[in-house]
Amino acid sequence: MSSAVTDEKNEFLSAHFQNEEQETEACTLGMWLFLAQEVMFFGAMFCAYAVYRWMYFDAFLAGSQSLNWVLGGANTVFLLLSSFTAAMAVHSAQTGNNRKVARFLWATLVLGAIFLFIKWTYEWPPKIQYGVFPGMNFNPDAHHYPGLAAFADKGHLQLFFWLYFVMTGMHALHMVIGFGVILWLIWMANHNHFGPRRYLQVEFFGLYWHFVDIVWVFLFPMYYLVT
Amino acid sequence: MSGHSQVVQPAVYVRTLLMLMVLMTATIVAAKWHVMHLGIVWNLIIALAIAGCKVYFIMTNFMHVKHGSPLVKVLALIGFSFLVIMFLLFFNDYTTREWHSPFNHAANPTASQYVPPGQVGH
Repeated sequence: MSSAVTDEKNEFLSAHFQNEEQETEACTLGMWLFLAQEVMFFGAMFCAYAVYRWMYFDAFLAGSQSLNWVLGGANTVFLLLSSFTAAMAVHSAQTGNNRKVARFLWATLVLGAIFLFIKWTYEWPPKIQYGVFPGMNFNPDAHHYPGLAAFADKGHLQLFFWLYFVMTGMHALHMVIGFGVILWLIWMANHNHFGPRRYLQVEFFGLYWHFVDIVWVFLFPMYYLVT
Repeated sequence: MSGHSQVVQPAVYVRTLLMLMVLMTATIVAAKWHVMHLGIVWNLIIALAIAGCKVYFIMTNFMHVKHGSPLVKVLALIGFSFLVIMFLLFFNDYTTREWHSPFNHAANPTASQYVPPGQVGH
């Protein structure tokens, strides 16, 4: 199809698509394929978690009880709120309100930053400082982590924390990547890029961010609420 | 990139957020206050069931699967189907690994008769 014909339909339509519906369908399908491979990426780690929890439940119970579920719960609230603001950013883009798009994306960024601030300030550093980081120096401090220090099976305890740091670390890495995308979208919104016929970038960021939220929806009960 | 899909009203997003908050509270209450005293397995099943409900609300409303094309719905389903298959195959392996092991004397009393290849006559 010539570009002249496509230009009559929609000036934003890429040349290799026949119409908006086809472009939306193709781009959406590509994004969902990306998310499907992300499901398998995190799914393999959840499989490892499930197998080792089944095999060494006592170590996983002791490890979970040393985590602060109040901080985990607070982080869940911040992440769910950020998912809401991301969804509202998509709605604002679809209705052509670029100022609101930028505001909701800033809100998403701030809520995500609070999540990572809690994790990087109150959750990971004390564990690294007091010997709860898996490796040669794994030796939980009896004063700060009495339950872990008293637990005899240190090997399987390390397995729990190895999975904890890798899975929450990968989740945090996905959030940091999301921050970069948010800043790019805010720049585009400030240049009035989005409108009722041009919003797919925000829509796809929303899909990515909601996926990150879904991963945490499982991480929270699996790590903080083992009973 | 142009866009062409149904616009979901903010009221739907607000209702979804409230539902997610209620479910998050239910997760904590079920795990920490031992409301039903059901044991390890059922506590895990309840936690996973509540997480599944949260995922359903996030996917249908926030991720617009509810208004997506049949192709998107199938693809979303395929992602989770492959995850289920992976879990089943993992546990199929780990739970049955000992059943037919020639070295598992408890499960297989004739195991001592087994001679590894290459060691015949030693």
